[in-house]
Amino acid sequence: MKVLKNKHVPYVLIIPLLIAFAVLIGYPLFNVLKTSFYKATFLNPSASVFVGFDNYSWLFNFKLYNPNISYFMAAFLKSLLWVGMSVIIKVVIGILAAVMLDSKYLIGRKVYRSLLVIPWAIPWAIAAMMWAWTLNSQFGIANSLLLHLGLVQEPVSFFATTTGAFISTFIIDAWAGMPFMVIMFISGLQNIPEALYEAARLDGANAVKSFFKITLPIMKPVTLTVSLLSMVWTFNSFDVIWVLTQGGPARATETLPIAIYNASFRMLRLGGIGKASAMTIVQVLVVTFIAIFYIRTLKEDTA
Amino acid sequence: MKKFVVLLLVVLLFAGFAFSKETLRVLMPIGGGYTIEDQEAIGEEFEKANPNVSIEMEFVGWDNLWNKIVTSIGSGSAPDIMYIGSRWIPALADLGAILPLTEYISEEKKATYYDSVWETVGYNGDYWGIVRAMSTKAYIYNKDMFAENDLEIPQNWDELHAAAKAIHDPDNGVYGIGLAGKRFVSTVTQFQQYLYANGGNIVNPEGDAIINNENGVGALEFYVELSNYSQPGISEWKREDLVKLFETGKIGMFIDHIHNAKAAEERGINVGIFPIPKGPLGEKPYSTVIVTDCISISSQSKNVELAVEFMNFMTSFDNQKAWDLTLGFVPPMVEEKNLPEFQTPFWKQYVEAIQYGVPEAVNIKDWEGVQEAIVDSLQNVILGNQTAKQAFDTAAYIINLLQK
Amino acid sequence: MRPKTKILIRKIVIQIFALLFIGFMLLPVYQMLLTALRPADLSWESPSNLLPNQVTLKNFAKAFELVPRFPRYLLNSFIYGIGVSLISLAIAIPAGYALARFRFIMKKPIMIFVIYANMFAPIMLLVPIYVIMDKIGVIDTYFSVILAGSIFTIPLSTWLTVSYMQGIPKEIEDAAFVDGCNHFNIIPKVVLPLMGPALVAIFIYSFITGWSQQFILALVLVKNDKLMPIAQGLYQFFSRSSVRWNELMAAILLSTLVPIILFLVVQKYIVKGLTSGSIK
Repeated sequence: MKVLKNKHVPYVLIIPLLIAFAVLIGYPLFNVLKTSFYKATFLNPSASVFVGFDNYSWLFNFKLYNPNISYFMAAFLKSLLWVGMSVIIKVVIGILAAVMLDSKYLIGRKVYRSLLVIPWAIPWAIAAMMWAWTLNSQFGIANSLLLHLGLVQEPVSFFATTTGAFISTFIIDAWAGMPFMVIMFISGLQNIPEALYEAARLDGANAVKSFFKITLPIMKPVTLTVSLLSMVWTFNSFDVIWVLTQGGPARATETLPIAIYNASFRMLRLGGIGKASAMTIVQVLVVTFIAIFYIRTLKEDTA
Repeated sequence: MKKFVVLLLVVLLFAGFAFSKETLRVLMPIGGGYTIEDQEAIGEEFEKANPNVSIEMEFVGWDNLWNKIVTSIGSGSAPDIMYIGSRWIPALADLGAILPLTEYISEEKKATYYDSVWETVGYNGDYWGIVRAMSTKAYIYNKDMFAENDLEIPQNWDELHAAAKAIHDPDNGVYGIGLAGKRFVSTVTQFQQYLYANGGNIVNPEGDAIINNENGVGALEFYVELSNYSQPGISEWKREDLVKLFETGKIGMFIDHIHNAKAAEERGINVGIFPIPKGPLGEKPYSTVIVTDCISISSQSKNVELAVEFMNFMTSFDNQKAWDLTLGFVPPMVEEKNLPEFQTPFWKQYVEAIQYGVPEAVNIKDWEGVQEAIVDSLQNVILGNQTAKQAFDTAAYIINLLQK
Repeated sequence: MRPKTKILIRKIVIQIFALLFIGFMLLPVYQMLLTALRPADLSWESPSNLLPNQVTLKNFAKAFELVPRFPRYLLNSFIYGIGVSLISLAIAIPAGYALARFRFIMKKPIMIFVIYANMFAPIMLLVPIYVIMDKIGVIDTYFSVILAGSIFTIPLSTWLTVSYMQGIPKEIEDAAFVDGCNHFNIIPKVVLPLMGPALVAIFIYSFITGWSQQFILALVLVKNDKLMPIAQGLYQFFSRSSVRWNELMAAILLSTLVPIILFLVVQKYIVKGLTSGSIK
């Protein structure tokens, strides 16, 4: 131990992490990049043939179910819309819920907050099964509630139409991500000095006005950080859709992660892991792009 | 104490050498009625009769079975014996993953089964498996609802349509017929019942897609027309869930296995069974899809003789009979139909359907891909995105790509 | 309007909206409890009754009967959880300590990479993970899922360690150095006890992640039913046969109870760590 100088200590401590990153992330990333230039199937990954950029042109040329748009582009655009909607819900509802749950007028704040984190601890795949049953058109309580409240006349088949399934899945995804958002927003709200609101009240501002004039501007950096993080997580979301619709009906919920999975492991003849790797590279690029913004906002935060 | 432990270890070590056995690795499905105990019991029985053989069973859920088989073949670690859906035979045979078994099947064994049963395991002039489980389907209907509406048992599609229409009463939560349309395996089989009843098929004997001919398009149009008198939102229902609608008196009829007819009867529904009637272009008076699962031998097996022996043991008359009776499968062996257990009114309908049966998938090289294409077409038409002709033209195009 | 009335109205409005919100968040949880605890017959009413009306524990016994490997799946999930959290702690604690307490070259890029890596999800590395695991022949083993699973817990575990360490005054460690500690044995002797609750939080975070969130990894890496984690095992039950919702919900209730309680216990530490993450 004596031989080791103090300045070497951090390197020794950090080496396991670097090795883990190199082996578990670096090498797989390299591997996916490499595979994206090969024709290969998961049946026999080692027997692959170099095909140059074929897999990338496949992304834009291969049309399967829709003659107007390539298989990849359809999934990619669907993903963007799906993620966008889910994140908007999470942010808007999340901020409003945070303001409510942080309000000093709310009785039982602690109880609410404990209850709120329950969905966070439920595995997404299992949560999706619970939702499938809750939203069952004949026997679920969601429809029962809607009928009892007179909001609908006939039970709603949430997953039966393309639009219905698309909306239902992103709302369920928003549900799953909501506890994290609300908790982050609440901790942001707690940093706002009460004095600011007092001052506004003296100037005659009402609750709505001070929400827009004080709360929102101060919350902007937190909101930005959290939305970017949630954007990435949502972009990678697989379990919810897989369990609920498997990408159906009529491919309406086949987002990029679902398409990657299908191309890798289900489209034996038309897909393959080479093509799936090319799609994965796009996925990685999108995530990296968002990550750059995210890291920037973090830096500004701490500057 | 220490000495004793060492001694024990030495004894165990020797014991291990002395009784080194021949091992047979068997891949079995779990779920959907298949229990671990039932299957392990057969292995143990075989071990008793053959003390130098050890049967090692590995269980995989049906959802993973296909992937497990292809990946273990890819990595060279395939089990000796594999339980497969017969619809996978062409793909596995083309991959060189399973052995043709024609030379191992005795004339006697061959005569034990119906010809239509053998058809389900045939490809390129060879047999690739021995059928282990078989199912035919029929309509399960609510006798009370039929009586209330003065309905006779439908003998053709017009009568079927009329019956569904007569029973349909959505305001009171009663629907004429239960249909499946979810993106799921069983949805395709459910639709195939109508396809075959109308004399259609997915591909012709040459392997070219014919699903978009008038038989196929007619079947799809009829399916979608029927959905006007079915439970709402059929594209979120899979066949497995329909029985609950039937048990709760919400649908008048649906196509399913015999065990669901029994389940509904136990819950107090007055259940009847009728065979699937032919469509306007159908030739035979009735129709059913014959689905079989079979046992096949991996081309990587080093002990083919022993594997064949175990395969024959598993499918012996007594074992097969016990299997069919416990799990409620339609008997694939000709002799079985005379057993008293199969003489009930319910069973008779399912056993008699065999003669009208058409195998689920013959000459289809990538069943999983074909299945996706068909479900997509079905959903597109149900949701009004495409006409039946357009949807099946697309499906045919994809199927032909997959058949190359 | 008098200010008092105004406040009362505000209180009522907020209470109503908070109730609606939490009602939506717990709707499926309520559905689960309802279905798990009432006799099967009562679940097939349409429209569904919103109250249990009758309570039974039969569904739990039946769940064990229908899913005979249920205890095994739970055990598997436990093994995956423990495995993943041990690996991530073993790597994250020394690394987090180094990042929080030392200045060294590459520190900032490493910290940035930690944050970047935290954004990775299984779907992005699915294909290479499969190819690599296939190459080293560990498909269908506990090891493959644990190793793959820890990819996604190491970054956040490291980050959490850093942010807790930054909150602990350095003086205590300085005193320990005077007492003869060096930079290596100070971690078990001083740092770990100081981190106490945070350590538990990180452990539980990675345990829960390993326990539950590896659905897609198991989907690809594990085929043998003996090795299925609980989410997969139940999904299998969910997807094939006609769904026995009462038993399924009973099984879900049993399998999510422990993670939920653990999570409630440690949530404030995780939140603290997440909100104080800095990359200076």
